[in-house]
Amino acid sequence: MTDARDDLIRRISDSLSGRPVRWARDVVGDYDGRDRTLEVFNADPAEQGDLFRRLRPVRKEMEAFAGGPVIVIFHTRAESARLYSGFVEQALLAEVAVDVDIAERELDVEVPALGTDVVLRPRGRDPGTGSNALPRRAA
Amino acid sequence: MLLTAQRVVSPGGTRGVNVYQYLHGSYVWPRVPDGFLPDVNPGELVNQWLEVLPGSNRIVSFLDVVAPDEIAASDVHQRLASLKYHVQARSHRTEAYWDPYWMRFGSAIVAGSLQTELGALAGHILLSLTGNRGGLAPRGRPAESES
Repeated sequence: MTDARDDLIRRISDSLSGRPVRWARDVVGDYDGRDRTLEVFNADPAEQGDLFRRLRPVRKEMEAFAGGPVIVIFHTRAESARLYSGFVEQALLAEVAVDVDIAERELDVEVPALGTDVVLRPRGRDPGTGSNALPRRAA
Repeated sequence: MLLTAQRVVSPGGTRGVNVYQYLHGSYVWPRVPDGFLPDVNPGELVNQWLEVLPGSNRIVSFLDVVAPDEIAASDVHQRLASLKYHVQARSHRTEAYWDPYWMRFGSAIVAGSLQTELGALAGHILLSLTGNRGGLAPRGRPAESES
């Protein structure tokens, strides 16, 4: 059950370009569908219509999983950062960790070089003391 | 601000991803002006997170992301996590505006893995900015018991 639940949450997040999502817990207020509420984070008002449409392909599956029509609550970026920063950061880190892990395992070290890297100096105590060059030289 | 990640391989075969952060100053733009693109003006280097000491390493892929310095960290983090969904890396060199951001991705890695590599480099930047470079989060989603 947990695997299926995690898999559905992952696919919902993928359909929303990796935004953190979760089935709501401890939602304030008493309303029909309180136990069928999906929270979507980092979703500003101008994006919400498009994000809602993007849920259509998984809506039936969401409803089957939740046991009825699903209520979607969008949290803006500002509110996500203010109230749910811990969950949001962990969700984003988990999102990128998958690719980080796969890329490391599958790296072919024999691929040709695009260039070579160079040593740079980060800014010290005073502005203007850091390097102003890219960390690479073309091959 | 320029955020850069480079996957490098040392002459001895050590591999890793080095991440760099540059600042441009308090400029705001709807679209990144040409004068702030990395080849013209990368800004001033303020942070670097190095897995392999630089100097003579081969670069096999890189990602450059430009954004206004003052943009909210939460916005930067979500954009980095969403980058692979927004940009289709169909060739070994991809440039795209995603206002007010701009990105450039270059890779010598085989075509089938381009999208994963794009996501991985964006991920290394995110991990660096959030101080999580040492220990990656588990592959599944986090527990939902947090606030």
